[in-house]
Amino acid sequence: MITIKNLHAKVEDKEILSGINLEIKAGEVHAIMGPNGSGKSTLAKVIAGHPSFEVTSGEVNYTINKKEKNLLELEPDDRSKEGIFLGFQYPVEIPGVTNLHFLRESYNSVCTHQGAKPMEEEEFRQFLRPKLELLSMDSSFLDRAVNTGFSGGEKKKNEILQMAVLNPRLALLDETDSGLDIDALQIVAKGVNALKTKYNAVVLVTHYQRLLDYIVPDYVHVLSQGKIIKSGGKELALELEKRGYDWLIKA
Amino acid sequence: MTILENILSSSNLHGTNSVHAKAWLEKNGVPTNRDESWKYTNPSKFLSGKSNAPTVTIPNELKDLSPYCLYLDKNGVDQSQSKLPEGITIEDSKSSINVTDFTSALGSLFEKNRFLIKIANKTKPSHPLVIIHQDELAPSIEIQVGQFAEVDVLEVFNPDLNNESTTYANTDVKVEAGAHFQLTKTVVGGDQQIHIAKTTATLDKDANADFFIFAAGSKLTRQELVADINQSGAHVNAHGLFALRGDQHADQFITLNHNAAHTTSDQLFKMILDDQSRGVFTGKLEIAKDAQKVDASQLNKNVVLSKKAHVDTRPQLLVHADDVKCAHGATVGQLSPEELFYLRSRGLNQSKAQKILCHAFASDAVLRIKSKTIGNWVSALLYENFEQFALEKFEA
Repeated sequence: MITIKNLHAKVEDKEILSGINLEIKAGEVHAIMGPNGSGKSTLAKVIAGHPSFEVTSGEVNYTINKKEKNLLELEPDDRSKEGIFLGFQYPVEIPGVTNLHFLRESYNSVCTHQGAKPMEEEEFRQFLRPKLELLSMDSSFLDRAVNTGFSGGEKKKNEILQMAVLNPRLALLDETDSGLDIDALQIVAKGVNALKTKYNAVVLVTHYQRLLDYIVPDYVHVLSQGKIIKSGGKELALELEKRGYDWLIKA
Repeated sequence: MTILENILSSSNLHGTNSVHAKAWLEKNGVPTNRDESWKYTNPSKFLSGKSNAPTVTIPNELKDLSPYCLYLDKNGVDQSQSKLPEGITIEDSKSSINVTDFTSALGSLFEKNRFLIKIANKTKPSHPLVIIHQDELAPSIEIQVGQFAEVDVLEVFNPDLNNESTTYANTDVKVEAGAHFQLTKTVVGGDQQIHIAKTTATLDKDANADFFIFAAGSKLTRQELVADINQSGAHVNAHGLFALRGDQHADQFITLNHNAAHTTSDQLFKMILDDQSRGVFTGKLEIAKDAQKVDASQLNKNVVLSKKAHVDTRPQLLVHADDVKCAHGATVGQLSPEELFYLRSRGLNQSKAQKILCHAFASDAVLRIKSKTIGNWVSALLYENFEQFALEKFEA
């Protein structure tokens, strides 16, 4: 689905990604782990097209419906329309715009591009009902301003609700587990697992093994100083939990 | 012909007030940027033409806003269309505009009628009173809010955008003890309109006054608000929103005088500027010597959408007392790239994302309007006149 080759990226004059190679296939769950400042979040943001980062070399090839696209040439909104989704570590508050309106704008933009019919408000509310239930969210969420005054857990659930609405091919979840209590973590994990199919892929960017108890990865990658220094199966996360990152970085 | 001669030549000098105003202008002249209160707005640049009164067409939405309305035109009160609630009356004012500065002098120079709107003690109408200014060059009203009355007033200035026009507006308010008064002014102008206005207020014990000034467009908008908070327990909210584009210029000058102890105020004033428009904000907060325990906050936030838009902001504090709580601040910035990216990552293009963020920025101010009817009116104006800034009408 996506092939990343020798990807280098910088912000201002500081190189953050220094040659990332990664291949993700449909149906897979990948976890990206690593110490603070290793480039985990940057990798997710660069794939989604964050304008603060400049890609200095490398390729990101993305295949959808048997067509290969150079992702780096697309604007962030076009990447979203092609099925890339980034779940934010710090979702943005938008006072004065209701969640319902925002979700519908987003759905109508992304899903009509993919051939779905745009939905009117009432139909859209019906469409949202099972998705809200999946995330144990009350329908009153729809009439609140986007993320405004939401608790940390509510914001993260709202990210997964957006993911459920947009039904992406590749979901990059940037520290979705940070700031969550154990109940909220289980709900978020249940949501992600329910959305998982053999046609899509999930990348979890996380500090902690804890999330991986609930969303089991097929592959775990360790990033340090902008490079993947070790890849393995889910057991690698358990080992990191026991031993920390130092043994890998020093090796 | 100098600018001053040009201004004076447009006036027919009705009555003695005009003569006084003329004398004031001849003595003091037209302010320049050496005058602190006109530092960033040069009136001579805008007042070279003839002062023509606006023509007005009243939109249907406005007619349906409230059962209580007052239509004022150059001949006075249009009785056929006006309807006042019980407890509110209108008569000719016996007082005149207090000429203390250029803006009040202009109002006084061109004033033809001045009305006194009297709100009896404890009057609490079920709907707002909508005052619609039509073809007056210098609308001038005095509002006397009786004790414990609770009234919402909307003053609408809606000039026809196809003709050059000028408005010199004065509104003087006296809020008596325990009354709650809300005044929203909406001014929608285009590239050929000039609107220079002054609002003054005095507040007695435990009185509450909320001001919201909305201006979209105009070649020049100058809005002055001066409130004297004279007795303890009184509170003023001074909020507003300007939305500018093209070559438009708007200047908001707020002066709040805390003349008594235990008085409070809150200011939130926002501007959205596109193209090469220019916005100026001055917020002057003065706490008198014996006015202890005053709690006052002031915030001016501006967002510029283009590299050529320009903002000057001056939050000013003059504190003569020693036991007060005052906060002030000002920000000028672009829309946050992080926030734009969030919206774009949800499939929304750059212009839509920008529109949503402007809407969020504006809604924070518009939601301060307590009357739902008036809040919806302001949001509709923003929507219609500044489609690029508003995504949907706010539900206040």
